[in-house]
Formats: sequence, C-alpha cells, structure tokens
Amino acid sequence: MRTEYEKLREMGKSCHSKHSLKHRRQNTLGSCDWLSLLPDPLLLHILSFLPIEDVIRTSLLSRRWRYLWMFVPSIDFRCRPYYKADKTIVAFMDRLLLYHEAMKVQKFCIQFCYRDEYADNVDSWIHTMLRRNVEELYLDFFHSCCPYYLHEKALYKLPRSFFHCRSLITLSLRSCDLNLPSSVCLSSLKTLCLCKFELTSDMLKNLIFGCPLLEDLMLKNCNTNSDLIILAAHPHLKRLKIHDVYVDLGYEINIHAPGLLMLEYSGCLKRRNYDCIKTLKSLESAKFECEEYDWCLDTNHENYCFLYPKLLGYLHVKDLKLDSWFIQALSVMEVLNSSAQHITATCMEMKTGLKKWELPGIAYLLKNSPSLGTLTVSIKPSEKIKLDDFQKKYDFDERKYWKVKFFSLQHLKKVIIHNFMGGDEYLDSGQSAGKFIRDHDNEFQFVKFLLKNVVALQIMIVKTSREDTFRELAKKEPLLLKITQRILSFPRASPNVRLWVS
Amino acid sequence: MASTSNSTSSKIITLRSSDGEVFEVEESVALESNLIRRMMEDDCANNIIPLPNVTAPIFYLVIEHCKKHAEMKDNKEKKKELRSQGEELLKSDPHTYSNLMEAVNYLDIKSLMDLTAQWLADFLKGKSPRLIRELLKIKNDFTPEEEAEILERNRWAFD
Repeated sequence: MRTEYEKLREMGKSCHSKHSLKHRRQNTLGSCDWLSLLPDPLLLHILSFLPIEDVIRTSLLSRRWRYLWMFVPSIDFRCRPYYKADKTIVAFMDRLLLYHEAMKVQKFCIQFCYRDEYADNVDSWIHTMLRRNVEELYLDFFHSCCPYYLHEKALYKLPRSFFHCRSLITLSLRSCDLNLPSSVCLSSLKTLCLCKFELTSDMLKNLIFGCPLLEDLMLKNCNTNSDLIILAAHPHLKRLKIHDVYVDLGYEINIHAPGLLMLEYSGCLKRRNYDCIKTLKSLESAKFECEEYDWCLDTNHENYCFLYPKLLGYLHVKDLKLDSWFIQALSVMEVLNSSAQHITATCMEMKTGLKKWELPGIAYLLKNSPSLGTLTVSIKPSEKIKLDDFQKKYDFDERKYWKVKFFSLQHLKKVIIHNFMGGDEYLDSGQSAGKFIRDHDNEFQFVKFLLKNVVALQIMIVKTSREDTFRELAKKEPLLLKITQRILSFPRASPNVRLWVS
Repeated sequence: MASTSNSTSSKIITLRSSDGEVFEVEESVALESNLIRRMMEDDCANNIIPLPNVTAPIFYLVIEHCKKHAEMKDNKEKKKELRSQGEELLKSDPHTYSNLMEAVNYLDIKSLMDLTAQWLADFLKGKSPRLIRELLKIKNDFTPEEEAEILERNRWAFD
C-alpha cells in the first residue's frame, strides 16, 4: 500500500518538473493531480475548512472523492440568504446527516431561519451531534427579517439533555430558548458565546457554575431590557467579552469574577454601575470599543464624558486597548482640565485617527501613563462625536497642538504606528505627494513630538498605509522616500533610537 | 544561531532532515511539533533527532512558518497576511505545498495543519467541480451514468 503510494508520488514529481513552466502561465495549480494523492486524513482536514455545500460538491470530482465527504469531521452550514426559511434547507440537513458517517464530529455549525414546524428535525440533528461527541457547536436560528422573533413560542427550544453534554468545548448560541434545566453540567466547555438572550442573574450564575472549565465568556446584546449580572464563583473564567449595543439606558451591570484576566467591552456604555470593574483585581488587560452613535441626542454629554476617565481609574491593567470614541471623550476631559487618573498600563494600543478632537485625548493618555513602555497606534478613521458647541467654545489650533506640549515619558521604549497616512475616506486620485503629506501633517507632528520628548525611546516603527490610494500615489512619486526623509529630519531626545519606516 | 543566555534559557535542539542537513532550532519552536515533543519526552532525543520523512528545503519552510505563526498571535493583520500567502505558494509551487502539508502532518504541528489546510480550502471555496477538476488536473474517471447518478442522488446539495 505504502509503496504503491510512493510510486504515485514519484510520478507526481516527474510530471511536475516536466510541465511546470508551461502550466504556470495558466491559472492551474501544477501540472498533475497531486491533490488526490494526499492521504484521506489530510484531504478530510482540508475539507473541514469548507462550507458543507462545497464539501459535498467535491463528490463529483472523481472516484477518489466520491465518498470522501461523508467522513468530513466538520459540518458548517450557513444559509445564504439568511432569511430563506424554506423546507428545502431542512430536507437538505436531514439527508446530509443520513449519509454522513464520521463517527466523531469536531464542529457543527448551522445558521438559518427557524420555524416552529422544524422543531423535530432540529431536535434530531442536535441529538445526532451529541451522540457523535461534537466538540464545537454553533446554533444560530434567527434573523432580524424574521417576523417570528416577537413570539416566544417560535424560538427553538433546546432539549434539556443538551446541558449535560460532556464533549462540548465550544458553544455558541443565538436566538433560541435556552430551556435551562436546574442543574447544568457541561464538564468540558471552555468557550461560551451567547447572543440575544435575556438572562436572569440566577440563570447566568447557574450556567457558569455548571461549566467548571469555562475560560471564555462572550455576551452579545444580552439583557438589553434588564440588568446584566455576571457572577462567576470559580476563578477559571479568564476572559469576558461584552457587546452591548441596543441597551436601554440605566440598566445595571455587575461583574464578579475573581480570576478574570481580560475584559473586552464593545458597544455603548449606557448601563449603571461601571464601578464594579473596580473589583476585578486580577485583570491584566482591558479593551474598549465604543459605538456611542446617539451621543448627539444626549443633552448632557459633557457630564457623560466623565465616565471615561473614571473607568481608566478602575482598571489596574498592564495592557490597555482603546478606540477613537474613548479617546474623543477623554479629549473633552483634557480640554476641561478635569481630574487626571493614574493609568497603570505598560502596553497601550490606540485605534484612532489623529484628527483635531482626538489629539487632547491622546495627550491625556500619554500624560497619565507614567509606566508606559510600548505604544501602538493604529490609525483608523472614525466618526466624530457631535459636540459642536463645546468644540467651538474650547477651540484650539491643531497644527500647534503638540508643539506646546511637554511631558516626559520616562519608560516608553517602543512605538509602533500602523496605517500611517491612511484612513482617508475621500481622496482625489490626482493629488500630489506634497499635498498628501501636507494633509497628513497631524501624523508627522505626532511623530515629531514623540521623537522629541521620549528620552528612552529605543525603536520606532512607522508602517505606512496599505490602502489603494496610498499605493497608487507611491507608484507615481517617491512617497515613501519623502516620508522617511521628513521623519529622519526630526530632532530626537533619545540618541540611540532606531527608526523603521516601511 | 547563538543561544541566548537569559534565565529562561532557550535550549537549542538539533534535528537532521532526510537528506542529511542539520538544523539547530530553539526548543520553543521545535516543541510546536508534537512528534518532536513526544520524542523528547521518551528521551530518545539526546543527540540529533532524525526526521526521515522531511527534506531540508521543506523543513526550512516549516520552521519559517512556525516562527511566523508564533509572531502573529492576536494580530489579525498578520493572520490575514499569512493566509493570503498561501495562494501564492499554491499557484507558484503546488508540489512544495503538498510536501509542506505532509511534513506538517508528519511532524504533527496543529497550527500549521490548520493554516495549510485553510490555504487550499480558500482556493476551493465556491468553485464548481468542473472548474476544480480543470485547475487541479483531476481526471474525471466517472462513467456518464455514474456522474448522472451522483448528481441525482446529491441533487439537494447541487441546487
């Protein structure tokens, strides 16, 4: 068997070398069928990265492939378009599972618009998967186009036995009825993602308690109409991600997780009691990505901005990642000269533009981070907070902003700037390099400020934008050279700094 | 490849490829391979570890990718970059690709197994059987009757 296979391989080699040049010109991959020569386990592994429709289609390639799909360890079916809720999908899954023979299913992923009449079918799929010791399960039964969302009874009700599965390692659920039993035992579960659920604090506590190995918990748009209380009694829970967008104002949040290392918060910060973050003593890294698009409606936005520096005060982390919204809110605080918070981070990442009303926020962060060692700035355009009156009142000259700032960043050793001169939404193609550089003066001023003030700087890496407009311009003119020359001409506080521009 | 002498001193492991070339690899990189890990645990790796199924150029590629993969942890941009590099390799040198995949399988390196499989999956995704056959030179050895039968049987998947 083995020698036969090796013979085939040899054949593969020789036919490859003979024709390779000729075929390289075409879009073919090689000149002989090397793929079919790979052993079954490897082919199945490749197939496991494909949606199930693509996997089944390979049965038509050749005899070698005819039955292979039946043993693929992963079934990934996502209905496109999503709202297509017809019987053919259900029939498709029924038949698929009838033929599918892999004894062990690694991953089962299904996304489609559920209807009441499919309950028995879905039940049988899930039972089949549980019997085959599925490790990763993704169930998503809902779409906003689906009018059934309003009726509780139209939600798929998970079978009670579901919550006693020992093989599950990753579980992601969206829009179904949890139907949670009083005792949960998902003894291998490490990652749990819940999307669009209303969970009472007891339910959530019970669920977390029943997953003794749970390390990652993700809650997306959960409890939009109620308090979100996360109580993790055991210290295994390491990472918590919360995505809150459509929350009604004023509901509370409370997190009790003694071993939590990482907190990621995205969406809007409209809940009450963010003070609870203070109690997360073991936290090492935190990330905030805000989408406060309805700020302009909030008349009291200046007061609202006070939350952000307070949050910084609560977070005793080494690793901090913030985005433009957060930084713009800090800008308000900086301009108002309001109380500074001590920031403990040694490593900070900012995903922000370097537009006028982001500058004071960046200054606020740098000024208050005495231990900062590594700074990463990923330049990304973002929507402006609408605070026109405020901004008129406290106007300043952005071109001179960094020139008048002095503060020492004693420990900062490494600065990385991604997407330098990128993030332009509108760019006319006929622009010259000179004007392009002038338009991005804020970026240069920021680099200049860092080089001039950071005494211990060892390395600064500036990665220019990979966007099309930048590349096109760089083709016509020596843009990179001009950028490098300009940056190299800036005075440096640290004699040994290495500069990389790419 | 000088060994660094810090407290967590990274040990250097010596490996020999099938064509006799000797590689010195940092332990942390070498241990990505479950095969090498097992060999070291079984203590049959005191001196040079032989890798009879991997040639030097392929092993070099494996190490390169191991390093890149370690670097890209939590870095989405790099991940994308690494994922898109696969297409280039597939198109320019599919023979090396299949050798790499087999080597990675033999060495039992989970992260690279997934990466190399993803490369090909990305290539196959959304393509019709006819196009895949053409691009990969797969010979259609079905009789017309057989082909019709598969189409009929799996019609539910081809619609």
